[in-house]
Amino acid sequence: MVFTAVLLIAAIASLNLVVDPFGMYRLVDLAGLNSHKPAIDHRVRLTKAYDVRRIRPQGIILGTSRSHLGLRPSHDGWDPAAKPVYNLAFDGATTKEMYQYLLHAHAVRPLRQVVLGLDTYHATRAPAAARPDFDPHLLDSPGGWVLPSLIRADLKVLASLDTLRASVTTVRSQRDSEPQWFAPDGQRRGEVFFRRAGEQFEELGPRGYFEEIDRLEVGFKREGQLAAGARLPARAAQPETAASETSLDYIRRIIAFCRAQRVDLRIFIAPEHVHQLEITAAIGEWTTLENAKRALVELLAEDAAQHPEAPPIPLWDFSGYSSITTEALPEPGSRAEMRFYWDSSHFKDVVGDLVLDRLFGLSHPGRPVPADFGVQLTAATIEPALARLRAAQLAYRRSNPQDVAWIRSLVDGSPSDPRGPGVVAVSQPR
Amino acid sequence: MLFNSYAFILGFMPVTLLLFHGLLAAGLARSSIALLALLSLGFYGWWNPIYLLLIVPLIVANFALAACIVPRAGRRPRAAKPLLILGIVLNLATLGYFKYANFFVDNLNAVSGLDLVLGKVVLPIGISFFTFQKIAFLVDAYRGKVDRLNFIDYALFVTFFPQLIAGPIVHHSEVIRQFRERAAVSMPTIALGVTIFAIGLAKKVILADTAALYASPRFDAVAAGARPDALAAWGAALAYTAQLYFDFSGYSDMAIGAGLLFGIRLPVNFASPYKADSIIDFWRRWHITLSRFLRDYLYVPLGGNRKGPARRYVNLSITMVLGGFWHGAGWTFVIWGALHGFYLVVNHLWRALRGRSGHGPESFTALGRGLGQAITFVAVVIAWVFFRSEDVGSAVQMLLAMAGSNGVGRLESVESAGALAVSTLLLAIAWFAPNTQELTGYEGPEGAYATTPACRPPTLRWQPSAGWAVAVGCLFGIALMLMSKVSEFIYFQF
Repeated sequence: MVFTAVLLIAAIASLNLVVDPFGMYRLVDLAGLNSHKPAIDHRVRLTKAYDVRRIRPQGIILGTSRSHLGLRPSHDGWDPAAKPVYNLAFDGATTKEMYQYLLHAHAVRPLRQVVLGLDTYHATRAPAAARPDFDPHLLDSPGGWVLPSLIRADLKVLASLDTLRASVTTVRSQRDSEPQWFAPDGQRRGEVFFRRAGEQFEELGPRGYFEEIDRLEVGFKREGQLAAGARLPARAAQPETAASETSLDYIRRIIAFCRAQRVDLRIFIAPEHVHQLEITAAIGEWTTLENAKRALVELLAEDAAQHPEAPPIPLWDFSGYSSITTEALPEPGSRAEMRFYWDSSHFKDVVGDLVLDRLFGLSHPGRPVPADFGVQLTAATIEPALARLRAAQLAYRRSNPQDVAWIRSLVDGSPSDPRGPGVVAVSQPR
Repeated sequence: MLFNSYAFILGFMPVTLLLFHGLLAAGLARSSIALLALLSLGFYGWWNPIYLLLIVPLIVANFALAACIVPRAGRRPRAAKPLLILGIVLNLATLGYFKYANFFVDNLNAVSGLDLVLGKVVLPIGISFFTFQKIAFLVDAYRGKVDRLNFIDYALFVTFFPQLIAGPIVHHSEVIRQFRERAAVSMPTIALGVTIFAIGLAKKVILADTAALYASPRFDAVAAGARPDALAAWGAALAYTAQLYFDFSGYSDMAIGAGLLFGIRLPVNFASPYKADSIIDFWRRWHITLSRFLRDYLYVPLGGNRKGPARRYVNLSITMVLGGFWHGAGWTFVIWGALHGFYLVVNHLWRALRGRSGHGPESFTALGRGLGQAITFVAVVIAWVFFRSEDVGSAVQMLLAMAGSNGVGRLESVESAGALAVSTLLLAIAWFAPNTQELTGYEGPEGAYATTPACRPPTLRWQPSAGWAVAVGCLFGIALMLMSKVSEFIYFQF
């Protein structure tokens, strides 16, 4: 009985190993059998855990889909000693997940350089969370006794009927000519991803798509508001989230880990389009945004105080009103493209290159970084920077009344009760 | 660790079996029992080692009380009674604190407008089950039904890991003798154990988990304020009916299978309950070891049926309400228990009525039995709605929806049709397929404490043969592979 069970499992695991639907091993790559791997699309956390094992990077990018799409591991500013560089950012990454993937990559091969892309919602005292497809068993961590990854991760995935199903789908989908947007260095290729036939970017056009994402953003930010509200203790008996388990604390852990392991860490707040900032302000969360930036500065100041001998970890803030982030939308009805943005959340490679230029202190004659793009936040600069941001906001509103009115209409038209739009929207667009 | 976890199946179980059978083969039978008790504590501590600080002192205290009661029982019952009461209070107070303290404080606050604050008391796993086993032991010690006391046997009786977390609720008389009479475990017994474990695991991960996909989202949605149509509501209620049965009976099967691997026969806990043709019959088939505990240690001491029909019905109702409350500290469970108490009273009244009018207490015609089975099943489903719902309000909404208050709905709705089709298929297995005992011929411990309902002669009887080994092996393999989920995440924004 046990023998039969083992035989059956071994047979299916071998099949999964050969077809390798999630691109974990890439041992066999045969056109017509498995070279096209659509199952990766929705299992990026799994695929990236194994990419790290195979590629063994010494430089990584941590962040959300913004970094996943916009930052090139092939940028020329990376420390040559940190190569190969891998884009380890993924959709909806939480700080807890980023921390675990940092540990994983470092356990596979000690890291030299890490670029961490944050959004302001990360630096809050909301409870640390993980997404449904996050599985800590797939990841290594330095030190401590754990089951070998062969049992806890490989066998678990290979001997799974879910994987068998994905294998079958993979083999059957070889004739689809869907282009692969998942680059070998971990970046999501926006040029491929957004331009797939039938996807919303193509269907609605850049302008229509931008508006659609604005609409979804309002729902998402409301959802965030509710989540933050829910954490307030409704009754005295409910303990507040322990300080060591907040989203902010995992940023602290990332900083401490990189310090302890002498990893060159550079942090930035992503250059979202100003429509995102306007939505944040319109739903009444501007103070939260400012406090998030203050919290990050405070974390880094603490770290610097503990390590007076070493250079402080830099924090660059691109989330403001700059010549990049205020890019005008295409005219309604036109199919013209924006230069810098796919939508209000996701910037293009050209912007990502400027971000990395700033982070690495690089200046290219061919691509000058606008002076107003990015400000280094420190204890000394934070308050003036926030004051300038508020002034820039007023100026933007004066000169772009239509954009402001559009966002106002979205916010006013959106119900704010728990059953309003929100997470329901996230399956769109894929 | 749960039975349906890799840590248990691939880690704990092989190591424990190897050590146990090694000691047994070396002729160290007593040591093998002590080892099982120790490893069982390890199994329990896996959840949270802090629980050991509760269960170990409780075992020691109960054993000490029993050791004081046994010599006094029979000859000096007056001297033994305070000790028995102390023991019962100790066990019930522990259960009461860990399981019910939050419930009482919340309700007291709600009624009185007070704002008493009690930190969240974490419920140690399995406490409801082992509390009952310990109380039964003390009561029987008092009644002079415990002859020989041995600490290791007692410790294993309480902690034996296959039954520690979710039953069957073992009676000392049926296992302690097995601990004393250790002999090498035969290969057919081990094969039977693996088979029953595999059947249980398959019930859990193939059938119950599938049913849950159709039940949980709908019940959760109702709790969040959704108002489903009648077809959707019935789909969810039936899916949950299937889920709970396959989940719990699968877990009991795994416990029995695991017990057999050590040569210990645990009592049968389920015997096709949805085939019951009356509620009385249902409770002889559902969670059998709980029914017999409630009967012998609650219903009978309350007076049972010895004080006239009126008192009998009151006793029955009290027993079922408390039985419901034992399942969980919430009003939904109390109502579930009360409903079953009510059903049982109606059932008994009906039988009395039939008896008086010259018929036998039970119908013998196929139509009568079929009708009885249908009525029983619907009554059970209605009660399960309370058992599953977040709160009483959600349960009422679900029942109203089932009654059509939100419209009947359309069968073309993919979700409703899916839920109804899957539930019907799963329930058809529960109604028409042979159960584990019928399939394997397993009968529980010798001289079992309670008799199980007569089994149908099986059409397909398991044997320790090569063909069956391959079939069960495949089932086991598939169930194992279903345990590993590789979740998808369809999410692009942010």
